[in-house]
Amino acid sequence: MSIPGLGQIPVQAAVSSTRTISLRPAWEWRFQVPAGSSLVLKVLAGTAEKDGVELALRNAYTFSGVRSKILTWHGCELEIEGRCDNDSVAEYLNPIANPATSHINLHARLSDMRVDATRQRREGPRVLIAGPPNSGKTTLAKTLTSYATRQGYQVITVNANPRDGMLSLPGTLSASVFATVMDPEAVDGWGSTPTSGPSTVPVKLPMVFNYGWESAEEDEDLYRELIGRLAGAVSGRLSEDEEVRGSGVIVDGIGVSEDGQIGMELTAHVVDEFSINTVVVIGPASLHKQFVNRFASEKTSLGEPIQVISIDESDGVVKRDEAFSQHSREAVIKEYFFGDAKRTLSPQIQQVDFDNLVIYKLADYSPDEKQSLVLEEPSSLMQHWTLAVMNASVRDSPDVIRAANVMGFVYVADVDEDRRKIKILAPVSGRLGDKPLVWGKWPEPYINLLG
Amino acid sequence: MSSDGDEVAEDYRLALEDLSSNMRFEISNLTVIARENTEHALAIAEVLQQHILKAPPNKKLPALYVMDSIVKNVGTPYTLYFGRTLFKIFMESYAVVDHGVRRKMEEMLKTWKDPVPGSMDTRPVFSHELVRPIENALMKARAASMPQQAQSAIPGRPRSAMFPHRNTPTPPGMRGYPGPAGNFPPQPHPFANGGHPGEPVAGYPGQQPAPYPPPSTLAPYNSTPASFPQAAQGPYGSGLPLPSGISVETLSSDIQNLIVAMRAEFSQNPHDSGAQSRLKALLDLQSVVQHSNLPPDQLELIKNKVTELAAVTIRATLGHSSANSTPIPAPAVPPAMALSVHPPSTSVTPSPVPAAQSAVPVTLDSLLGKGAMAALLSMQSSNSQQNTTPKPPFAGVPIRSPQMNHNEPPKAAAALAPPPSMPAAPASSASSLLDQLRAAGMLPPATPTNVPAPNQAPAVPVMPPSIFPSGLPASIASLLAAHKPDSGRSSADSLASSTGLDFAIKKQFRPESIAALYDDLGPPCTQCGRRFRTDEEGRRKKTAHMDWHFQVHQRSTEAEKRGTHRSWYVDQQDWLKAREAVDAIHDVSSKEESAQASKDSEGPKYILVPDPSSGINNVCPICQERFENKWLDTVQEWVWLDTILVGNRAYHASCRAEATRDRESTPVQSRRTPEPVLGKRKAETGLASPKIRVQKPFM
Ligand SMILES: [Zn+2]
Ligand SMILES: [Zn+2]
Repeated sequence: MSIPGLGQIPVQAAVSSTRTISLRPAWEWRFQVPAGSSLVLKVLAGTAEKDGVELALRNAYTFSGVRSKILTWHGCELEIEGRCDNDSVAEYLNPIANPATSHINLHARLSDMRVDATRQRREGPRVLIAGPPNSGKTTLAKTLTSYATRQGYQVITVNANPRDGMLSLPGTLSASVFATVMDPEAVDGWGSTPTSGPSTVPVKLPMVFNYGWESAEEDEDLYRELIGRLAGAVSGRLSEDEEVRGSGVIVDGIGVSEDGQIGMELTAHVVDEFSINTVVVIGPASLHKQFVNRFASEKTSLGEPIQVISIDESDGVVKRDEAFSQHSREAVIKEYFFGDAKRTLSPQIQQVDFDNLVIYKLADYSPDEKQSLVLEEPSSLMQHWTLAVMNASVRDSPDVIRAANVMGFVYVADVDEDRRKIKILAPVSGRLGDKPLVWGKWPEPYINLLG
Repeated sequence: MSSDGDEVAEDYRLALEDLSSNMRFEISNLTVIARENTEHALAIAEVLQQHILKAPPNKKLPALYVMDSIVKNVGTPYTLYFGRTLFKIFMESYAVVDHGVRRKMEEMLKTWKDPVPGSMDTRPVFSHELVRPIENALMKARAASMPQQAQSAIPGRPRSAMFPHRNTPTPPGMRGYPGPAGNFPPQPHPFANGGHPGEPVAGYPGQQPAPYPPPSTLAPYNSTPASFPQAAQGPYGSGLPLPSGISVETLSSDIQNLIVAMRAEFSQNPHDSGAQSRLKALLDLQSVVQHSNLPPDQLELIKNKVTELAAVTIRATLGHSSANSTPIPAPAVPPAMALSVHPPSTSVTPSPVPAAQSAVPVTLDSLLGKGAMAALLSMQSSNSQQNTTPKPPFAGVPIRSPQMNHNEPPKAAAALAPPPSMPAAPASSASSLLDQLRAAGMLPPATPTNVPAPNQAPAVPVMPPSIFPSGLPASIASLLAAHKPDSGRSSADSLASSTGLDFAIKKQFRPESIAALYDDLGPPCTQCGRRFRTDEEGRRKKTAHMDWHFQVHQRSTEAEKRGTHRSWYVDQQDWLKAREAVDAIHDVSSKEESAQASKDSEGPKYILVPDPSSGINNVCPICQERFENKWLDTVQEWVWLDTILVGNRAYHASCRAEATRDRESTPVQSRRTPEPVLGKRKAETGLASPKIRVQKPFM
C-alpha cells in the first residue's frame, strides 16, 4: 500500500541538537544564525545551493551571524547541527511558485548572451540589479555571479552600493572578476581577498574605491566620480581580458525607492557608465514601469537597446534589522584584520607620531563646497574608526587622493592627544607615512577590535 | 473525479483504517497528505467523513482528531467540506462513544469556536453558525441526563470540566491536539522536516483561512444533519459539470467570499500591493460575472475552478504571510509577481468582458494568488495524465508526486519534469481576463460548442491571444519579444515586449536550465562542489584543481607556522593586468618563499587515474613501468603519483623531466594598453602602486 506522504517526516529529536531536514525540489530551508553562535550544515543527499553556490556533499559548512537560505533543485537532505534562531522550510507547489526559478531563467538568458558574445568576441551582457533597499539585490547578484562561475564564465561583479562592501569594507565601491568557486561561508557571502598564505577557497581580487558614506545620495559628486573610475577600469579589463569579455558584468546597484524618486538618477548614471544593457528590477510592477519608462528610449554606448527585466522579490527577503546588519558589518571588519575560523590573520600594531601621518577627512556635504577632502589632525574622535589607506602620494591633491584606489584599511585603536601618538592596527607591517589615509563616515565605529 | 483523485482517496481510506490510536505522528502525516493534495480535497474530505461515521466507536476519536488537525492546519477548502456535515459527523459519533471520548469531543468542539491559537486570523475554526447547533444539541442531551451529570460533578470533576476553558484543548503553537497527555501527548506536532512547533512554513498556513463560502451560500447544502448524502452528489461531488443550476448569484457569492477573504488579508497587510492587486482582480472578475451574459457552461467552469482555486489562493497568500510572521522580523507579504506583467497597450483581442477593467494589469496570479497559475497548471496536468494529450507541464514534478521516497537520495534532473510545453499565458490585457482563464485551460475556447469539463478536457495548451503569432512556443515568443528591433521603440512597445520576456523569466520552468548548472557540468569535486566534465579537458582541469586543493592543504600547515596577514589590495594597473588563474594559488609571500614554494610545487605531480576507455597508456613510455593506483587522502581520489599527461600520453613526471629538461615558460601577459570598450571613457592608468603583486600560478 502506498500512502502518499508517509515516511517523509523525520521525527524530530527533541534533545539532540543535530537534526535532519528533507527538502523537495524547489523548496528552501531558511535560517538565521546569530553572531556568536554557529551552525554546521551538511548536505547528506541530493543537491543544495546557497546563494547560487553549490554545496559539496557531506562537507561541513559552518555559518555564523548569517541569515540565509539553502535552496534545492533536486531535493536534498540536510543535516543541521547547532543553534539557529529561526528556521523554516519554504515549500512551493512547484518550481514556478518559487521566485528562484526566475533567477535560473534570468541566468539562462544571460548565459545565452554570453555564448553569443564569446563567439563574436564582443562584450557579454552588462547587468544591473536594481530595486528598493533590502529587496534581495545583493543575494541575486551573488546568485547570478555564482551561476556564471559554475559554468566557467569569468564575470566581473561590481558593488555599486556603498552600504555594504563586496570583498571589502562597507563604504567602498569595488569590482572583481569571479572565476573560481565562491565561498559560501564567507562573512560577506562573496569570498576573501589575498593574504600572505594559501586559502582553502580561492581568493578574489577586488579593485576598491573609497566612498566613505552609507548611501550614494550623501555625496553624489563623489559617487558619480568613483562610479566613473570603476567603470573605466572595468571597461579596460573587458577589452584586455578575453576570458572576461564575453562573460560581461553584473552590477549590484543602489536602493531605489518604490516610487522611483530616490536613487533613479544615480542608477541611470551607473547604467550609462557601465553601458548596462540589462536592467533587472526586483520588486513591484510600479517600479518596473518606472524603469521601463526611464530606459526604453535609451541605448547603451554600444548602441544596444536597454532591456528591463522584472523579478519578484523573494518572499524570504528579510526586512532590515539594524542590529543584525551592524553585526554583519562588524564581522566584515573583524575578518579583514583577523581572518576567520578557517584562516587566522596576524595584523600589526604600530605606534605612530601624529606628524608622521597624513589624514584626510571626508568633508560634510554641502552643495557649494566643492572640496570633499580636508586635512585633519588625529584626534580621539577617530578612535575605533577604520581609515582607508589610499594608493596615492601624500603630495597628491585632495582631488587625486579621493579618487585613488584603496590599498587597504587601518584601524585606530587608540589616540593619545597629549603625547601626540596614535596606535594603529594595520594588516601589513611597514611605514604608513607615505600614503594618505582617509577618514570617512561609513562604516561607523561599532567595535573595539583590540578590546 | 479523475482516477488520480480516486487513487489518493483510496490510499487515504486505507491509511485511515490503520489509524487506531491518537498517534500524533500518524495524524500529522494524514494532515500533511491532505494539505499536499488539496486538489483532491473533496475526495479526501468525503473519505474521512465516511470513515468517521462508519468507524467503530473506539476508532472514532483518532479520526475526529484528523479532521480537527486538517481544519486547523490546512483550513480551506476542508473547512468548507467538513462544515457542511459537521453536525452529523459530530453528533452521530458522540452518540456512540464512551464518556471519556465524549469529554474529549467536547473539548475539541470548544476549540472550534476560537481562532487557531497563534494565528493572526481572528476568525473561529468553524463558524459559530456551525458550532452552535451542536452545542445546543449537547445542552439538551445534558439536560436530559442532568441528575446523572450532577452526581458525577460533585465528587471530583468541577462542572467547568464539561466545557473546559480553552487552555485545555489546544496547546499553544496551533499544532497541538486536545486531549490529556496520556494518550495524546500535547507535544509539538511533528511537522515536516523536523521543524519546531509554530515555525512557519510557507505554503503551510498555520492559520485558519478566510471564511471561504460559508455553507449557507451553497444552495445544495445546509447544516442539517440529513444533508450528507446529497453532498456527494452536489456540484462539487464529482468534478463533472452539471449542465445547469449554476446561477450567477451563487457564483457571484462564491467570488464575494473570496473577496472577503482577500480583504481580510489586505487589511492585515495594508501595504501589500499583491493583496491589493488580487483583490482588485477579484472585484473585476466579480464584475465580469455579474455584468456579462456568460453561457452556463462557462459559468460552471469558472465556478468549479474558483472553488478549487480558493484553496490555492488562500494557501499561497496566507501561507506566505504566516511564513513571514514569525521567523524574521516584520516582512510583509511579497509584492505580487503578477503585477509586473504588463499588457501590451494595443490589445486586439475581442473580448466579452466589459470595458470596466481597462488599464489594470491582471494575471492569473494576481487573480488567484501567487503561484496559482502554476498550481493550476500542475493540477491540470495531474488531471489529464490519463489522456494522451501533450505532456503537461508539471507532470511528474516530485513536489506533487506523493510517491516520492525521501529515503533514497533524490534523483538528479530526472526528478524534475520534462521540458514543459507551457500553456502560455502572457496576460495580454486585463480586458481579456477570460482569455487568460482560457489560456490556462480554465475555460474552453471562446466559442464553445459542447465543452467538456476541465478534468476531462485534453490539456491542450491554448495559446492566448498575444502579440505573437499563435502556435509559437512560448520560449520563442519571448525571444522574439526580447530581440524585437528597437528602432523608434516607444515605451508602450517595450512594455509589450517585456510581457513576453516577463513570461519567459517568471512563468517558465525549464529543467534543462537546472541541468546546465548541475549534471551537464559533470560530477562535483568532493571537497568544494565545483563540477568537472568527464571529457579530456574536464579531466585535465580536475587534475589541476585537485592539485590546487592538495597544495593548499600542504601549504596551510606551513603558513600557520609562519603567520599570515592580509595583503594590500591590488591597484588598478595590476587589476587590469591580472588574469584569473583558476586553480592557482594567490599567495603574496616573499620572493624566497615563493621560490621555495614553486620548487615544492614540483613535488606532488599526479593525475587522477584515467578511465580505461580514455585510451591513456598505463605504462610509462620512458621507463616501461606500470603506473600505480594510489589513494590520495588529501584529494580523496585515486591517482597516479609522479605522473603527467602530455596530450593523451601519460609519463612519469621525473622520467619526462629527465628526458626533456624543458620547462614551459610562464604565460605571457598582455602588455597592450587597455582600450576601453564601454562608454566614452578611458581606463585610468598611472596611479602609484605598492610593490605588491599577485604571484602567478605555479603550475
Ligand atoms: Zn574542489
Ligand atoms: Zn617512467
